[in-house]
Amino acid sequence: MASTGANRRRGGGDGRERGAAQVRDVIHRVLVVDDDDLLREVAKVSLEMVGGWDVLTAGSGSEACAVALEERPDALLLDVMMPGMDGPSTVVALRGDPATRDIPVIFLTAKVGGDGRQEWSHLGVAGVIAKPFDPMSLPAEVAQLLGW
Amino acid sequence: MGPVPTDDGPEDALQAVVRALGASARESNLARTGVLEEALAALDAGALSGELRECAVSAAHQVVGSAGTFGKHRSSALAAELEQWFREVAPPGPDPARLGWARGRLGELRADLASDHQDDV
Repeated sequence: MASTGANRRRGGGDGRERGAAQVRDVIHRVLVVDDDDLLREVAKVSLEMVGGWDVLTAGSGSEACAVALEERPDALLLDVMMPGMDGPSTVVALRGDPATRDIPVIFLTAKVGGDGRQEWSHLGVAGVIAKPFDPMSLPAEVAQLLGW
Repeated sequence: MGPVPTDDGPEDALQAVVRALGASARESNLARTGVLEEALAALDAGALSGELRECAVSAAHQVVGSAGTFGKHRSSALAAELEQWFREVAPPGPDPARLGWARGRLGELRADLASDHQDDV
């Protein structure tokens, strides 16, 4: 992945309480994409409060592509089933642009009948997190999948 | 909505945010059950269109993810059953017993969503 300059080192000794997901002293920037406003918000707050990361949001696949191109986040947490451009279509679009092709993507899905890992393996996603998700452990799951 | 300020740690603050957002989620999810009711009525009348069926699948799918995230795990499980049921139902529709089963599940879903309890947050 190209360096985006998105990560920042946390200043030492600031006394700020840290969540379990903050296994390294780096602030990552994550783009959360979901058409459900409330789920998008709770994921954002979870990653910010517990993970300690910077979070961008988008409510659709097309908006996600635009934000990803503009902001170059370190990773996307992407809903699968959305109206219009769904999650897999969004990944295909991201992979088609040299500027966004290497951004890791994690699918977030309530898909019934399996978690879709086989179905989506050709897309090269970093992992799949099931909905409903636990806001308390979401940052740790993301960090584990991305090796953060 | 911004973070809820508290003197506690980030996990406690997050729980407060989840509870606050959960009230709005309950209303959204109850509204989504209206789509399921409409689809069941159309099915009962032998008039379920492909479009309405897809709307029902989508509405149930949204409840699965939303309700469980906000602590309504029973609602999430019921919605998952209904999502799968609508995916598999085919014209001219199920027999009365299967339709009754779906109506029962929808009633349980509405009651659970409307209740104040949360399985956990």
